[in-house]
Amino acid sequence: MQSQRPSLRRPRSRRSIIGVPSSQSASSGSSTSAGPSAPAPGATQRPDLDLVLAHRATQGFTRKVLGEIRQMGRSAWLDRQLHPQLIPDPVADAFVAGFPSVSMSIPDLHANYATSALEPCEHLQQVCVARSVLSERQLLERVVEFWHDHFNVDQLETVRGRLFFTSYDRDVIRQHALGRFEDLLVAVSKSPAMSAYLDGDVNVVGAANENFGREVMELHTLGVDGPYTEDDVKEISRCFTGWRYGYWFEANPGDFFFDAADHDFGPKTVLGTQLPGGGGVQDGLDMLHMLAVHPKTLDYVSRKLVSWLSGMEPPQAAVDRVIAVWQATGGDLREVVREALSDETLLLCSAPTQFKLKRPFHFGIGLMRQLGVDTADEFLGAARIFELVGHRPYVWGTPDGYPDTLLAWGSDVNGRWAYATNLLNGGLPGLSIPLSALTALRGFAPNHALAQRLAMEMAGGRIPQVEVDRVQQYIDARPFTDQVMRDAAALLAASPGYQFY
Amino acid sequence: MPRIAFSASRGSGGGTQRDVLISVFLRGGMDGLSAVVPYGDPDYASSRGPLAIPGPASGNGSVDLDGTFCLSPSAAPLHTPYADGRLLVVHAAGAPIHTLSHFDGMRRWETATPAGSALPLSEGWVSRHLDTINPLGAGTVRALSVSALLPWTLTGAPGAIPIAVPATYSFPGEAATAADRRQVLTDMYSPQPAPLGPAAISALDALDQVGGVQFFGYTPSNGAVYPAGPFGGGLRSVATMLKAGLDLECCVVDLDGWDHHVQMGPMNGTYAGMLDNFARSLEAFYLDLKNSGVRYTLVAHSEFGRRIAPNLSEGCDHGYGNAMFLMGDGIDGGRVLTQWPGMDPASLNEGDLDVTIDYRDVLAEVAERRLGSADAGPLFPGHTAMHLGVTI
Repeated sequence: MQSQRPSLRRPRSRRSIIGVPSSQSASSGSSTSAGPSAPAPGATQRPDLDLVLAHRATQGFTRKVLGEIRQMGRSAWLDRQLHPQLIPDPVADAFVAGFPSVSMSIPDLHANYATSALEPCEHLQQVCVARSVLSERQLLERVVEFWHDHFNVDQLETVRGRLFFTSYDRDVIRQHALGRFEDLLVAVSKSPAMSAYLDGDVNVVGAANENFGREVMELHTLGVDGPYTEDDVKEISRCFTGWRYGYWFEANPGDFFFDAADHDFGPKTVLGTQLPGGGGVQDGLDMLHMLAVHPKTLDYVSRKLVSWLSGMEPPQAAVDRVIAVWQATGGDLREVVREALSDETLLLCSAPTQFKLKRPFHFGIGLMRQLGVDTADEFLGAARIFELVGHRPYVWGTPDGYPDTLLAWGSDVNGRWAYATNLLNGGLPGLSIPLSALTALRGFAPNHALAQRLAMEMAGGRIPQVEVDRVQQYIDARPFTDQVMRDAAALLAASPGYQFY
Repeated sequence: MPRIAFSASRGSGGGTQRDVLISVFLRGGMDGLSAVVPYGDPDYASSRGPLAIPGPASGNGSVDLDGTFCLSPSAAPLHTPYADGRLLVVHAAGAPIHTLSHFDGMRRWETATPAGSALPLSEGWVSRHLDTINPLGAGTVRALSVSALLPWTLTGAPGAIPIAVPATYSFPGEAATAADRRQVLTDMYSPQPAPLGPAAISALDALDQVGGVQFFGYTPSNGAVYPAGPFGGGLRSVATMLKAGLDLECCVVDLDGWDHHVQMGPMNGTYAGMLDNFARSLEAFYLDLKNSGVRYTLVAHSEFGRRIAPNLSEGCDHGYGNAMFLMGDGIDGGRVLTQWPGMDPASLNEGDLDVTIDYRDVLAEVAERRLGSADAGPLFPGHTAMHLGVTI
C-alpha cells in the first residue's frame, strides 16, 4: 500500500508533531482522584466539570485543553468548539494538505487511483489519526468519530466502494456532523459509499435487496427493538429501489442517481404509512423523513449520543434533556451536542461509575497527545498498529460500527499495556516519544514526585492516588535513568485509572 | 519469566474426561445450502436457479454424502473427517426465532436467549457453562478467543481472554525490569472489579501459559497443511496450544464475511474461496490433532442461512434454516443429521428453508456429553433440550 505517487505528496521531514507543552498555565485544580474502582469518599462532592469536559469532548485529554476550558469557561469553550470552522487549525491543515487525495472529487480519485484504490483509503486513515492528535477542533473529531460508527461503512469491504470513502468522510459525515440529523441521514442514504456497502446499487424492482432497508431502520434510526416488522423491511426496501450512483462509464460518476427503470412504482406500506403508487424517488425521501422524526429515532440516537459524549449508561433524565433539545430544534445536531455536554447533563453523568472505558483508538490517540509524539512516517504506522488492538479506523466489518461498551473492550488489557510500553520505548512503527518531550512534561518535578507530575499531565488527576504511589515506588526502587521515566509513563498509561475517562 | 508446569491431563490423554470446545462462528449468514447441497431435493435446483450447484453426477467435484446431500466442490476437504466418521452435518438447524438481523441473530444465538425474550441476554452460553463447572487448571485462563475482542459467546466468562495473535503474545518492554513492572500491574489491578481486574489477572497468567508455548517451528502432524490467513492460522495456534497441554476449556476462532447479498459465487466466486478456506482449515485441524490425545469438539455454525431464491444480484438475502458442522472423536459423524423440511413453496418459512432442529439441542448435548456439564439446562434458559444423538 505504499504510495506510488510520491509527487502528489509533499515530502515531509521528520519533525516533532506536537509542540512540547509549555510549563502549564492550567491551574492544578485537582478535585476528584477517584477511579471507577475507588468511588470518591465524598460522593456528594460536585465533580470538576472542567476536567470532565476536557476528557469527554476531546479525542484525548491534555493539560492544554484543560487550561483553555478553565480560562474561557466551559460554555464559551464549548461554543467555540461547536463552530469548528472558526477555529484556526494550521498544524492539522498543513498535515492534511500533504495528502491531495483527501480533497479530490470522486472522478479525480478515479483518475488517479483506479488501480490503487487502497492508497487513498490509507491516506484517510493517516489523516484520521493526525486530525485526532493534532487538530484544535477536538469536539468535531469526536463527533465525526461517533457518526462514522453510527453510519458505519467498512472502507475496504467492497472493491467498488473504496474510491467513494474519501467523499463519504468529507462530504457526508464531516459536512453534516454538526448539522441537521435528517440532512445527515439523507446524505448517508444517497451516498455511493453506503450504497455500495449495503447493496443499494443492486436494489431493483422485482428483487428488492433488503440490506440497506433493514439497517436504515435497525441501526441508523429506530434501533433494533424499534417498531418494525420483517414486512416493513421488505416494503421500505422497495422504496429505495433504483437509488444508485453514477457508474464510471456514465455522465456523473459517484453522484446520486435515481434510476426510474429499476424503481418499483407500486404502492407500499411502511410502518402503517401507505404510499400510493407512482411516488418514485419521493417514496424513499418520505421514508427517511418519517424515520428522522420518529420518536423511537430520537430516543435511540439521543441515548447513543449521550452515552458517547456524556457518560456511560446515562440516566433517563440526561437522555430526556437531549431529546427535548432535539425536538425543539428539529434535530439540530449542534444544539443536541451542546446539550449533551452542558453542565446539567454532565452532572447527571459524572459519577465515577459512569466513567467510560477508553476505546483503543482513544487510548492511543490520548497518549500521543499527552506525551508529545513524533512521527517519522506521517502516522502510517500509527494507523496500522491500531489493527492489533482491534480498532483501526474505518475498517469495522459489520454495519453496526465499533462498539462503545465496557463489555466489548474490557477483556483485553495486555494490548493496552503493550501499546503504551512500546510507544514509550520506540517500538511502534513510525512513532517515538522524544526524550525532550518527556523532560518538558516533567518540568521541575523532582524524582520523588515524578509519578504525580506525569499523572497530572496524562490524566489531570483522574488516576487514583494509590496507583500513582505504586508507580512512584517503582521509580524509587532503582537508580534514576531516562528509561525509568519512560517506564513510569508506560505504567501510568497501563494503570486501571488511566483506562477510563 | 516464570514458566508454569503444564498439566499432562489433556496432552497425554489421561486424567480429565472433558473435551475442549472449539467454537467457530461463521459470521454474516453463511449459505449452508451451497456447502452441504441438498441436490436430491426435487425442488432444490429450480428454487436456487442460477446459483444451484449440480450434484456429484455432474462431475463438477461435488462429493456425495448420502444420495441426498453432497459437499460442494469447495467443501470437499471436509470429506476427510467425514469419511472417518468424525464430522457430522446437522442440516436445517437454527435458532428458535426467525430474525433476519445479523447482530440480533448472532447475539441471541451466542447468549442462547429464549425465544420469548424481547432483548437478548448479556452473557454467553459458554460463559454460563464455565460458571457452573470447575476449571480444569488454575482457572485464570479457561477460554481464549483468537481475536481482538471477546465474542458474545464468551462475554462474562470467568478466565476468558481475547488474544489476536497468540504466537506473539508477550509482556512488553525490557526484560530486565519485566518482573518488577508486572508486579506493579498485579498490585494495581488485583483490587479492580470486573471486567478489567479479572481480565488483567487472566492476561498476566496467559503471558506465562501462552507465552510458554513454542509457536515458531511448530510442525503439524499427519501432513496437515493449514491455509494461510487468520482463520487457518488461528486454528493452527489453537492446535499448538492444546498439544502443548494448556488447560483451555474453550477456544473461539471465528470466520466472518459471509454476507453474500451480491455475486455470491458458490462455485467459483467469493463464496467458493471462503468455503475452501473454511473446509481446508477444518481438515488441517482434524489431521493435526488426529491420534494426538487431545480431546476436542469443534462446532461451526452461522447466525442464519440464506434465502433459497437468489436476488437479481446473483446473491441471496438473509434466510433461516442452515447447516451446522460438528467435528471430533466424540462426534457421531459420517452422516447428515436432519429432519429435512423440504424446499417446495408450501414447506418454506417466509421463503426460507425452515428450521427443524433447534441449535440449542445440539449444543446442550455437546455440553453434557463432551464438555462435562452435569446439566445443560441452565445454559439454555427457557428451553428444555433433548439429545439428538450427535455425540457417540
